[in-house]
Amino acid sequence: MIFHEWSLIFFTVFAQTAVGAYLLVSSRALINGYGEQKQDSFKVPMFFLWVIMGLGFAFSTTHLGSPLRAINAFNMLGSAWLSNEVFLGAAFFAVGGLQWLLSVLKKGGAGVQKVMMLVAMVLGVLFMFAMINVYMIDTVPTWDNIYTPLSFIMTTVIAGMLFAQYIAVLANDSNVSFERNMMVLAVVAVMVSLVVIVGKASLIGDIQSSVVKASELVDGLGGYLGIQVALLMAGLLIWLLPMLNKKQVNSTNLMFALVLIVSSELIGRGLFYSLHMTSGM
Amino acid sequence: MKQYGFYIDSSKCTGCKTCQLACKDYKDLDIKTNYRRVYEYEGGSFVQDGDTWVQKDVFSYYLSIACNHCANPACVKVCPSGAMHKRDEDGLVVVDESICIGCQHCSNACPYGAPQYNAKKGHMTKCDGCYERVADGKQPICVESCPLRALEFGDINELREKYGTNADVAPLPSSGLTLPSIVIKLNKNAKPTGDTTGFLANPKEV
Repeated sequence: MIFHEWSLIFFTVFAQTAVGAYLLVSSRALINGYGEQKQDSFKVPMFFLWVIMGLGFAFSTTHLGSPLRAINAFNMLGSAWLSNEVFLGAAFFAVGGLQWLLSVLKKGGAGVQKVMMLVAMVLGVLFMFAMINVYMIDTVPTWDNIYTPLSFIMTTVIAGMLFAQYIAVLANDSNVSFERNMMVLAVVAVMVSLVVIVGKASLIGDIQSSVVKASELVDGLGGYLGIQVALLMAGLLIWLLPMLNKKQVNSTNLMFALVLIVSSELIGRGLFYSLHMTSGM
Repeated sequence: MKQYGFYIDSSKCTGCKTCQLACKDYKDLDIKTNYRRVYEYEGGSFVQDGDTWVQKDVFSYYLSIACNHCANPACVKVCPSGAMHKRDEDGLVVVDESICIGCQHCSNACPYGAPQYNAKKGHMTKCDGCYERVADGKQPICVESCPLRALEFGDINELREKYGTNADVAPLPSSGLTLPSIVIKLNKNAKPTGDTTGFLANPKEV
């Protein structure tokens, strides 16, 4: 079984999905200069984004042996990446969530909300950066390599793009040129992701200590990788199908694709945690 | 800053595990928790010599490892709560069980398996070098118990003057990673760090 770290698997994948989507949705809102009227159509779809982010944080606390002491996780802010990750994640959630709340209540004015959106975007990027660094530990050869940032970034990009498009469609803010761009980007991103998956698998074959071979850590590693790739490709196909058929993109379709692709990412993340080993014993 | 450490004589150690059990008894640990662990590294096989088979490259040796109270501890660097800390007064690495949140990231990072999670308590536990005994001028319980006198504890600088500075041997990781406060006298069959010709013979005991 590769899901023993289920709380961290769900936390990291959900957080990356939410941040990726937030970055894209907010970039579009800022670039296209959406006013209060336009922002109003996003209030329900964006609620889903904060639900996903909130679920992610709920999962992260279930990982702790002493969740009532969770506040201590901030103690080493600045010196431990895990503290930085928790702090930046909470800050992203707070600023972005508050911006959403203000837009729902129509308070604070468009200017303040735009600044908050920008701040939340920066916090989101820093949150992702900290999350990567949590796992860049020089005594853990299966994590401390280029595939940790690459695979974390690809989850953020692919799941984030798809979730952002789902939000745009729900908010009636999709159009042909946006959809065409998404189609091209989706294909490119999935291809890059495949290269990352294959590259990581080949690196794993080379890592061993005196007592552990990385390739022997997971029973049926090849099978899991196969399922991960199959779900990713199936998700991409369903994502693109309406666009290829020149039909209207619909939210049901995107939802189904999102479930498949997030499942693929969850399996990938399960493998990531299961492939943990140290350079010693 | 004072830094205590262990001297481990792998040429004397017979793998009797008295140290492991003395610690378990003194610290009242459950079956799966071992603040001190005796690793059996073995390998080799029979080789053909004319018409006969001899076992001349068969090897096996023991390493008794607790926490190495590293000068650059991987566990302390990743700890988000500051519970895992290095004591100023004696250089021992100790987890403050009243602060630890039980995220277990220290056990992800430590390449010696020293921090061990206690699910009942909901936080990490580990070898604390018996700092209370040491402050009273006594030795850690593992050192006292060793029937072969293969373990010593003391100021790491004095141990290094007496026994040299080696802290590298398979299956331990390269000592450059965390700068462990240990000195190891090698067994005559010892293999260098990074060796892959052997295997861990007692995975369920460590």
